Amino acid sequence: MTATIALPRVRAGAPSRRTLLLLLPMLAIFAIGFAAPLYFVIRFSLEHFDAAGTQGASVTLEQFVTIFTTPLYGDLILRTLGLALATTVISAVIGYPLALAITRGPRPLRAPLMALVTIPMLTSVVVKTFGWQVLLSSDGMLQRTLDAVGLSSVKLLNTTTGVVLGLVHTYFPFMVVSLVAALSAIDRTTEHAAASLGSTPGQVFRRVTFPQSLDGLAAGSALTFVTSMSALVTPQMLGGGKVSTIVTVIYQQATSAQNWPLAAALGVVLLIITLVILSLQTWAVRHVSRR
Amino acid sequence: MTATTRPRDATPITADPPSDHEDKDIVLQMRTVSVSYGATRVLHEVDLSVRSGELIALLGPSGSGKTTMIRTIAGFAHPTAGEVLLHGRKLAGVPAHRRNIGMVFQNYALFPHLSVADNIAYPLKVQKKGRAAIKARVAELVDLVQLTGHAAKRPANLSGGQQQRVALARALAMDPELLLLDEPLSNLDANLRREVGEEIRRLQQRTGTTTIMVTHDRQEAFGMADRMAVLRQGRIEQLGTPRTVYRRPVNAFMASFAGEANLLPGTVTGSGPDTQVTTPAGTLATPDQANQGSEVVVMIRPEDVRIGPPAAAGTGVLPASIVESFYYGSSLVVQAEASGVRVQALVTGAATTWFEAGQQVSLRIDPQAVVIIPDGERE
Repeated sequence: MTATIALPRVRAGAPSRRTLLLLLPMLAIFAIGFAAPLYFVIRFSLEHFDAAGTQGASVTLEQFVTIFTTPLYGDLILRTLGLALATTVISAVIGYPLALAITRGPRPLRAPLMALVTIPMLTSVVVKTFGWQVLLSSDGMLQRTLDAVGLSSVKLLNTTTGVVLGLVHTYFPFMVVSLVAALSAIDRTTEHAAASLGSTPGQVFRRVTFPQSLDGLAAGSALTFVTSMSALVTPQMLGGGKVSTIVTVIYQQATSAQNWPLAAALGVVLLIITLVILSLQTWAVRHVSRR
Repeated sequence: MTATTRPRDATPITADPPSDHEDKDIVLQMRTVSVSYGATRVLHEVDLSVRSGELIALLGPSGSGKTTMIRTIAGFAHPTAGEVLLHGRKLAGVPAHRRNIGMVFQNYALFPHLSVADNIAYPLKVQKKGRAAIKARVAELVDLVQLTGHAAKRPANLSGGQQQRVALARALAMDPELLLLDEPLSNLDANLRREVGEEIRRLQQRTGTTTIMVTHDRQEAFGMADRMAVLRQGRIEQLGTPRTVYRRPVNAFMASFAGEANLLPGTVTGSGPDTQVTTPAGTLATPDQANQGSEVVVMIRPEDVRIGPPAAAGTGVLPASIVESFYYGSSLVVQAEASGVRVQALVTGAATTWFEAGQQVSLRIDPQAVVIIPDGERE
């Protein structure tokens, strides 16, 4: 931005020291709360680990070498991404119609639907997951229904299916909230205009409403993907030790194996994946809206 | 009160062509259309016939029902009584997308995710026209609305006036049987309005598109319309050419709504060519007819009041004193008092001179300028 007008320049320049002072508490919280832990995680990930459990002071990339050369960890990363992708796609498929109903549906239905979506967000994950354990267990309602319709080969508790179910339930509200925000930001007269220009309601949705909601879909997908990828409680409790993700392995390595360097290195890998996905989302939004 | 024009006798200043409701080239017809939202009645038994190729302006203050009227025609609102016909076929039950009525929205409602060219191509793509045909038609329309060189831009990167032309081109692309313009100039800078209004009018005449325009600005309506319908509280107060509406208002409300007006109560004396009205300000001759002795209201537009040197009172000559003057560059607005009655005059042209407060003058009013208001009760 060019400072061709005198007034804002004076205003922006003069109180810079006071501005800095006012920012100090926030900067301190940021340093203690975010920068320091991140530094320690990265620092741990570069340490050596030996069977005796002591950690050397040297800087080494051996944890990352282990992660990228052991097929076990490659599979783990792919499986985690697959789980997050499945959760995101299912959330989008369920969430889009719901968001449409909340923004375009009959007025008396809108608030109750929104409440139904947001109330689970306000409930503890542990409580929700215990609930799912009961529902998914071998004598639970869902498994019994499956058995009754001859699908007894499909097991729910302690399987990937069960974990995805739990993850969708926990994280799809993020998708719905993002979509509701995007859909309600659309100028409704563009939909009326499309109708007056000869579009059937289906064409209005395909050509006008949906393309304008892509921002929200991208944001909701990124949010759902990233959060479900880094979930611990749901895969731990509904997977019963049989479904491992990057996060459950980090948990095992940090607690039972006491291998902090490996746990930290896996954490860094997870963080990098997260950053890549968020930048992809940002890029996609820019690309779509300002071609 | 009826919702149609009160036809006047052949006085020199009525210019309305005779209205023929069986006319073959009537594009749109509204027959006693009423629209209610819940308990609120927004339109009351409105009648309107729009002839092929004409531009009708619906003029009225906000809440007068003018927007409801075009929303009803477009298919976004539905009559609770009466019927709307397009080329003689009833529109009840025909959804908006099958009416072939183009609409330009007040905020233009351009598709933000599509380029100018894709916005204009939209109705053609929906109609599944061939790619080459679409390209040719879009290029033609881009030229027509003078947006050459902007076709690849997104609407957000255009000025308000350009966005409006895109909206117009998009609506014209579908070759609509009727074009609706909702407050087409209200989102533009004041200094652009007249220019864009005149451009829309030229475009409308060149394409011969039958058009209904909604506006709350009487200058826009006067400048652009072939005929105008003035709405008030959900009814059409008067329908006619701008000239008729301005010169032949059907009542005192219309007289003041269409422009500045001196409204004087008076008593009719004489008859035939000698009809005169005696008002508190003085006696005025008029070509209009009214029963001798009846109480009426006459209207004189300020620009028809000429200011002359002091003179004795006579028919159409009112001795007066200047109260105050306001100079607006192109015109001078003068408030004068004739026998204690306020009369406003508008002086224009190079001969415009200043008048001092208290100066003695005479107000001269030609018989042609004196109009008896039919429905003369003062509001």
